[in-house]
Amino acid sequence: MTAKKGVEPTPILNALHSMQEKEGKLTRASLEEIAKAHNMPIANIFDAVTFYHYFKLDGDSDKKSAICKGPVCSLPGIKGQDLADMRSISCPGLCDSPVPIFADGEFRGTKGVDQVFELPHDTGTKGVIFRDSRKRKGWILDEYIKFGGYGQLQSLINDQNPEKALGVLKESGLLGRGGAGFPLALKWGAVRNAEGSEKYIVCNADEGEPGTLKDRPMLHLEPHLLLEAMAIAGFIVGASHGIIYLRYEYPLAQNILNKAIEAAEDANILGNNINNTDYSFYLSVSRGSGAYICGEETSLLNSLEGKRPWPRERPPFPTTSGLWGKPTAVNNVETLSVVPRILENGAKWFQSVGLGEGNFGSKLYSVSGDVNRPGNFELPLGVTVRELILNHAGGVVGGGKVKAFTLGGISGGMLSGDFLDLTLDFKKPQEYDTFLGSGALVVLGEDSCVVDFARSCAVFFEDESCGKCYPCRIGAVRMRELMDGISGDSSLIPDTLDHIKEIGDVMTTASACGLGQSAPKVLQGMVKYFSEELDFHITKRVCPTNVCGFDANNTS
Amino acid sequence: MLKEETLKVVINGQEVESSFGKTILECARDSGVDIPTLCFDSRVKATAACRLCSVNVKGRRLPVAACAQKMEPGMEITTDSSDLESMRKTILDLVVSENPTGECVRCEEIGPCELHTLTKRYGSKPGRFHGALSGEKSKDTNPFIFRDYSQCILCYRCTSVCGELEQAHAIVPAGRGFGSRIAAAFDSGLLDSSCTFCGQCIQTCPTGALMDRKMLGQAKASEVTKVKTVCPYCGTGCGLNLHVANNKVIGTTPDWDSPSGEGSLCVKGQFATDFVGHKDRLKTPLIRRNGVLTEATWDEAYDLIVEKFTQIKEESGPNAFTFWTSARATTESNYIMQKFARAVIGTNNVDNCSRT
Ligand SMILES: Cc1cc2nc3c(=O)[nH]c(=O)nc-3n(C[C@H](O)[C@H](O)[C@H](O)COP(=O)(O)O)c2cc1C
Ligand code: SF4
Ligand code: SF4
Ligand code: SF4
Ligand code: FES
Repeated sequence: MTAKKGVEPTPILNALHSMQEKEGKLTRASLEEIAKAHNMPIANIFDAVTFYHYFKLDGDSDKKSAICKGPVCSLPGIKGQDLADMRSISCPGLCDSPVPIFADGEFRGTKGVDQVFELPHDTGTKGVIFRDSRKRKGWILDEYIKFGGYGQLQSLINDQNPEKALGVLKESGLLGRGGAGFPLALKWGAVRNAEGSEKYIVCNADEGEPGTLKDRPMLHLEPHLLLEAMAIAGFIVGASHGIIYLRYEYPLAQNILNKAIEAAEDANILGNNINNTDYSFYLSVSRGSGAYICGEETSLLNSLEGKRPWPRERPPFPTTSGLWGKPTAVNNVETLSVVPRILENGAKWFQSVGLGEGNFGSKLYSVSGDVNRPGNFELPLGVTVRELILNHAGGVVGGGKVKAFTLGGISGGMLSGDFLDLTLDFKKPQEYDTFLGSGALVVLGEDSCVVDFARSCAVFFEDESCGKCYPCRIGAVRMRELMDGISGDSSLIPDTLDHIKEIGDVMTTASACGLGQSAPKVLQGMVKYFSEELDFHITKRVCPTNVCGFDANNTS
Repeated sequence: MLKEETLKVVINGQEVESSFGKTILECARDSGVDIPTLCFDSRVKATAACRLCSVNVKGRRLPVAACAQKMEPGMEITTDSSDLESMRKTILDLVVSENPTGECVRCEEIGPCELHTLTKRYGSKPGRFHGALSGEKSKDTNPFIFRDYSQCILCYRCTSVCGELEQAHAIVPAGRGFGSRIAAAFDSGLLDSSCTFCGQCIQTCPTGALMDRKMLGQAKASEVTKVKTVCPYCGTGCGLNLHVANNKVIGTTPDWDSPSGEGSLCVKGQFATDFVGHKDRLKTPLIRRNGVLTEATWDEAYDLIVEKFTQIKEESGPNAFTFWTSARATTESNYIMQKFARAVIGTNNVDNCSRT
């Protein structure tokens, strides 16, 4: 660690990772060492460690090789051979090259490791975040600077007028791209106005929602854009530390980000007294260890503090009481990455990029499932589902119709192919009890079975429920069991559908966080739009697409 | 910012006065409105796990957890709509679906647990939802705390009380999701953990998952009389209730109203009352006669003490004495002892075992 670097504000996760890398697992002795170093009771370290998929305690079974059995990778057109006896991992964000495997600490899609370095598909539009990415290597500091990089940070420091910059962001109408669509300027304004001199900028790079892979190319190909944005955020709100919370499944991004930070600090573009001014901004990367819930911002903060990553009750909100109880802005990679562009080109320009009323800027959409060209697409906010799936993602494999598609990965709900004219923005989908969320769509063609798909969504939420609150902890399991019943595994009980509705309602209204609240959404979409197909499963015990295995002997 | 002391809110149509900093639950209970809870223990930070306390607040899209949400001026709160009540029933149906039935003796031997009091009230019975059960009987062989996590409902009260209130950090939540469990570090038994056996986890547990091992199998709850008393072990004087059945002390529970400790006990007050009826317990003074300890009256004993003390003082002087008082003695008794040492015997050799 170089002297000019600030003290790493969130050292515990990285300490656990280093220990595990060194010894292959976490022993009692090593946890005791870490507990002592960080003044934590040993039981609390044990508590946190047992939460994650990828920390290994002495005696834990080895996840040497495993395969994704997530909702996208389980679609019949995708999953290929049946690998039932292989261990499974939660979606590692490689839904565009399925089916990914995890081996020797690496996550590989069918296209190999190179997959993660792929740019979003060329959509023929200019692009906002990836504007320059085809012309230069954004991860190399000199090339980034050659195209004006760090210019916005520098002029902000020169102007000394953070209020003005905040005004531009406010006028731009930028809404958070992490899922909730919260106005960025409102959040930053709240942190700026919050009492206290110690504040933090946290970048949420935990993308773990099945089907969502949009932050991936930004992290790998435009790391400096993100770092510049975080330093800008720090200047505006009055923070001197930025932490990137990176999902475990993106190990290469950790290297890239750390190298980018080092290069920028060596050039005095970031770090101590940036370009010999009064402004210092230090950055660090903390690596998660496999837990979808850590994408929820308060759970993320607990994770960074080395605590059990349960979501916190709100209020207080992170803007006043975030990391270590200090005012904190938590923002998604995409939300941050667009900030330097807005400051460069102005609010009016940004507004003009979107389509339709109130839709400002571009959006990265991820499309996966039964489409010809899965991947990421940078398009104006507010394109229709039709345009995204049929024009850009190449339509359904084999030329068939779209049977169903999900929004927000699998959290935003599921609609049938009758809704192709829906615009993909923050408002319209809500009219149909769905939401845009992360902007990821999973597409089901006619050969896929919505019941089987809903079942694998239920499996995902069962695996990822944190276990804090009753509606979700117990509800998620019961929902998966009910889906097992419908799709053939166990003997069906007559009031299955009523139970799905009843438990779904309670999960939606009473769960403590967004995970439990949205976990039943795909199942609710199934009940609403696919009653006929559902009825075949329930009363005739037949799967019209022949995906669900109805086996009279198989009642396990 | 200057804040008013009190604020006005509306609960179920009634205007109620409350004060800043109070939660919806506190305010409601203060004003006689009952909101059911399972994971709530007023002594620790709300986990808001059970969500039974969810109430509607006008203007909020979703119900909020009353145990964790602070009152705000002008809030209009509904605690008992039929939607909320049926949500509570469903949650309880889900809870009972994760535990085996017919195996727990808690309600029968110790008295009705919070969980079953609530399920009775809501007419919630096991069997409406089927599926996997959670938790296992612990293999922990510690002599004090019976741990059967198949009865556990993961309210996390025990872990909050152990960490936050007792600062013992012996038990914590471990794992995640439906597989979450309550464990000591590395799943060890409590004897190998930082547990002090204060017993507070047992006392807060709303189910039969944690029980006083020594109390089990002794009597039916209906046969037990609770006798309020003060712990005899030390000068702190924690209040406790002796559980007496068939003229035998079978265990203790804390006296929550006691100003000393407010219900927190230590291992001795909580688990070590067996001496009361023990066969080795001294009931009269003993005098060694011809090398054998024999029963005597208090008068005989005091006469002997006076005789010997006088003799020693005359032969060897006052500094041949030293006096030690016990940690079990009160401040007043300690005072008397030093007075006796200094004024009657004439020595400064006096000390107390809790000082060493
Ligand atoms: C279960 C759950 C998972 C989430 N996962 C992510 C995620 O992976 N990335 C992300 O940026 N936001 C995620 N969010 C949203 C965050 O809580 C938070 O709203 C977001 O990071 C704020 O950033 P923004 O304002 O820039 O959108 C998740 C929320 C929930 C409830
Ligand atoms: S809704 Fe699920 S993920 Fe969220 S707090 Fe409850 S149990 Fe945890
Ligand atoms: S007896 Fe006390 S110290 Fe031991 S686990 Fe229970 S609460 Fe913690
Ligand atoms: S053991 Fe008792 S107090 Fe602890 S979590 Fe389980 S039910 Fe709650
Ligand atoms: S008492 Fe509030 S959630 Fe349990």
